[in-house]
Amino acid sequence: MTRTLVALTVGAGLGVAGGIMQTLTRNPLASPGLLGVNAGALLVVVCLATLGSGLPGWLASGGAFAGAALAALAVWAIAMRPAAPSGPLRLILAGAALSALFHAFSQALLVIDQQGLDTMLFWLAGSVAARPLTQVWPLMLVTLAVLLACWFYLRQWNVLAAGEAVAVGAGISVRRLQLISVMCVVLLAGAAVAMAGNIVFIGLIVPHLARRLAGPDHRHWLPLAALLGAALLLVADVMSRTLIPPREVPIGVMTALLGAPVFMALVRRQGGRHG
Amino acid sequence: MATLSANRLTLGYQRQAILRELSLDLPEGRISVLVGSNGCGKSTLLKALARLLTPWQGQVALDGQDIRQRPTKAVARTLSLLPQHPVAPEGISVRQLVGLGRHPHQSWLAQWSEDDERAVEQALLRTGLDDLSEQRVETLSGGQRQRAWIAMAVAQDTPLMLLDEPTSFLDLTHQMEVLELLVSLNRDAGKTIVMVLHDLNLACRYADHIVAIREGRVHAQGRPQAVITQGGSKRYSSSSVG
Repeated sequence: MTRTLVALTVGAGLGVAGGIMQTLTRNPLASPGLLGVNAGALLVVVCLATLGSGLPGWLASGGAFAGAALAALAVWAIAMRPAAPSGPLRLILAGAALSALFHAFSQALLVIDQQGLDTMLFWLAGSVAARPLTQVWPLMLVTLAVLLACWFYLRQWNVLAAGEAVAVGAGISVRRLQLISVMCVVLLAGAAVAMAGNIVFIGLIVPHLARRLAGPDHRHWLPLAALLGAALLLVADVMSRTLIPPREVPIGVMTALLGAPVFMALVRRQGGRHG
Repeated sequence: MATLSANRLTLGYQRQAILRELSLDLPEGRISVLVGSNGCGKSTLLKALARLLTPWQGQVALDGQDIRQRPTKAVARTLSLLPQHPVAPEGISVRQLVGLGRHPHQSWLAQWSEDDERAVEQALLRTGLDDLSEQRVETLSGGQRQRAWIAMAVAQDTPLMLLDEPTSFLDLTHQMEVLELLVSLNRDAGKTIVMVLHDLNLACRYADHIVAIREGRVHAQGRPQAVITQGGSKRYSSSSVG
C-alpha cells in the first residue's frame, strides 16, 4: 500500500518537475537531474553511509533531500549572477558541471571506503520498496503541496515558453517566475529522490508524451504529465515485481526499459523538428 | 496615451558601456525608427526602453514615471514588445500565440474574458491572419509568422509598441508587408510605434521620426529628410544589408 502511494507521488512529482524544467530551460531534453538534484542527493547519502555504518532510513531520506536542495542552490547561484544577461543555457551548463563534480566525489568516497557501496547501488537503481509510511509521509505532503502550488503558475509558464523577452513584454516578472520554477523542481525532484532514489527517465519522457497528447498549453499538459508519471511508475513497479519472481528488477531499470522505446519512437516520429 | 523617454541613460554589457548618457523623447502617436551602424547601441536602447535591461545610470520614463518603479504588469498594459527573432513554443497555434498577449489583462479572478476574446479576434483580423488562426505557427512562412507575433503585441492592446528589427530575415516584399501593417496600426489605431530597423531606405520610407544613434549617443533626430541630408549620411548609406 505504502509502496503504491510512493510510486504514485514520485511518478507525478517527477513528471511535473521534468515538464517545468523543459519550459524553464526551453530545452526539450532537460530533466530535473540537470539542476544537480540527483547528484547532490547521492553525494550526501554516500557521505553519510561512509561516516557510519547502518544508516537509518529517515537520515538517508532527509540527507538526500538536503543534498538535492543544496546542489540546486549551488547551480542556481552559479548560473544566475545578478546584472548579467543570464540564459537557460548557463543553468544547464552549471548543472552538468556540478553534477559531474558531485559524482566524482561520490565515486572517490566509495573507492576509499566501500561501506557505502550497497547504499549507493540502492540510490542509483532507485526503489519504491518497503519504506514505512511514517518515513515518507512528509515527503509525500511536500510533493502534493508543490503540485497544487503549480496550479497558480500554469498561465505564466505558457508565456515564458515563448521566451524570456516575450514574457517580460507581456508583463511577467521573469526572474521571480524562474526562481519559483526552480524551487518547484527542487522540492518535487528532491522529494522524489529522497523517497525512491534515482529514477531518471520519467522526468524526461513523460512531459513529451503529455505535450504530444494534450498540446502546448500548460493548463492541459502539465496535469496530464502528473497523471502519466504516476501511471508509468505504478506500472513499472508492478512489472518490476512480477517479471522474474521472486527477484525484483530495480524500478529505475524498469522505467528505462519501458520508457526508452517510447522515447525513441517519439524522436523518430518527430523527425528532427526541433531547432 | 503614453509617452516614453530616456533620461541620461548609461548602460552596457559587462564593463563596456554601450549607451552613454543618452537622452531622448519619443514623439507620441508617431512612428519612430532607431537607425545606426552595427554595434552603435540602437538595439540596446530599445531593450532598455522595453525594460529588458536595467540602466547603470539614468532612467527610462513612461508617462514621466520611472519604468522600473511601476509594476511590470501595469507597464505591459501600456507598452508591448516584439523582441528580435522570437521563437514560438512547439505546436502552438496562431490563435494561442496571439492569446498570450492578453496576459497583462488577466488575473486570478478574471481569467479569459469576452474582452480577451474580442481583442484576439481583432488582432487576427487586423493582421490578416483570421484564416490561418488554427494553423501551427511553425507551419507558417516567415512573413506570416512575423505577422503572428505582431498580432500578439496588437492583442496586448497597448498605446505603445516597441519592435526590435521586425523585418530581419524577411525578403523585401515581406519586409514591406510588415511595415505597411505597422503603418496602418499607427494611422488607424493611433499607436505610437518605436522600432529598430537595419535598412536605412525602409526607415526613411516608413518613419515619421528618425533617431540616428552613433557610439551610444543620439547623433541626429528628426524627420527623415532632415536627418539624412545632414553631414553624417555617408556613414549610414552602406547599412542596407539584411
